[in-house]
Amino acid sequence: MSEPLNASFIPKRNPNRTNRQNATQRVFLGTLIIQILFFSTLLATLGVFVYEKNLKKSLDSEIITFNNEIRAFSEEEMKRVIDLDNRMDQVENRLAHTASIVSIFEALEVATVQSIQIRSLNLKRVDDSHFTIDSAMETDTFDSVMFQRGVLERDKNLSVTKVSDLKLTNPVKAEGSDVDDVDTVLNFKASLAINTKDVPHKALVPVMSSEIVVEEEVVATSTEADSQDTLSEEGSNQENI
Amino acid sequence: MNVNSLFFQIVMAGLAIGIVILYIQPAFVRIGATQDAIDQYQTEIEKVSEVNNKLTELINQVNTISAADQRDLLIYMPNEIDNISVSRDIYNLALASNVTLVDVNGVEERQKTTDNDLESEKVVAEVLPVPHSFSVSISGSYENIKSFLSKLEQSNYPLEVHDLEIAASALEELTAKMKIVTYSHL
Repeated sequence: MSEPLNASFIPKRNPNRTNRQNATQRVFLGTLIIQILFFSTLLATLGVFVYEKNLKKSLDSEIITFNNEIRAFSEEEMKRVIDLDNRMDQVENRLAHTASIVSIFEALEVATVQSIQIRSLNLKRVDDSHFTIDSAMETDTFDSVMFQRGVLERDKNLSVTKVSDLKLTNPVKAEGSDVDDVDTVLNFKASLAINTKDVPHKALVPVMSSEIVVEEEVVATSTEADSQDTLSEEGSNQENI
Repeated sequence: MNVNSLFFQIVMAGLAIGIVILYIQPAFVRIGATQDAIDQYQTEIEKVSEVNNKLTELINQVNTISAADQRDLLIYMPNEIDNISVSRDIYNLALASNVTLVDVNGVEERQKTTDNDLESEKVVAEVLPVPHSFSVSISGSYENIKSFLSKLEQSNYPLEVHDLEIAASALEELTAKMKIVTYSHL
């Protein structure tokens, strides 16, 4: 009796079955690159989106800070400061060009010799730094004129001088007059130029002791409120000379 | 659907390129502009802060000036000149110096400006004070006229003598004609 062919417990290889291939998948480099590129693009898009959002937030924050800073700026206060600064500049300008007419008179008194009489005097402030003086003078001798000219030329304050328009008047002795000595009159014009720096204003400020200064400070603080009130009356308070 | 198929690869590549061209590249441009704007704002904030700090510093400095000094400053350089007040002061000075005040009047020297001149006038006004002239005639002795001039110089606001003509009018009596100039801020 013959046994069936497939009775053996040993599995038989089916001769018709093809050899099972190993499941290997081929990955192309191009595919890999494209996939990496694609996913990188997606990630980059996300990153760019988030970064842009943050930047916009930062920009908004900067704009708010900027607006706050602008709001903190007070135009009125700025005007107040500029006004005070301009006013002080103007005051400085005037104080820098102060000159004393009295000092000019005193310089002229010193520079005028005894025998000279000033008949008239024209003083003109040409600009902030110069005065000119035209003075009509009278004397009786040429020596006095020359001496006067020398004195004026040597004077430190009356820097530039010119003596001109000399005119001699010699009264004719009347016939039968007993007077022998008739005075000759010499008129001339002295033109002077003075620099304002040479004739500064002499401030007459009383010297105060330290005790008085302290006392004044106390008084000043107690009357500060009154002083503040008077500030509003600016413009036309030329008083208390 | 096979992701490795050529069609799918082309679609992915196309999408990637499309995203780069249509979103990422414009976004980079926008980001650049935003960064520039932020930088500019930061610079401007710094400048405005600097100005604000400087202003605060100056205000503090202004506040340290005593009210009395500020009042004196306003008297010395007022916003405008009151002709009557100045004339009264000159009269009082003449009285105190024993000279006779023959004449005093304010001379209108300022030209009326047009709108076009306003800007240039504003610039000048910021630099130089505005002068106001008064024509004054007095008579008296030499010493008294000198005393009058001395008192003018001691005034608490500028009273500058610009033109002065002195001539003898009678025995021991002189007449003096002068142009007195004072200044205002505006």
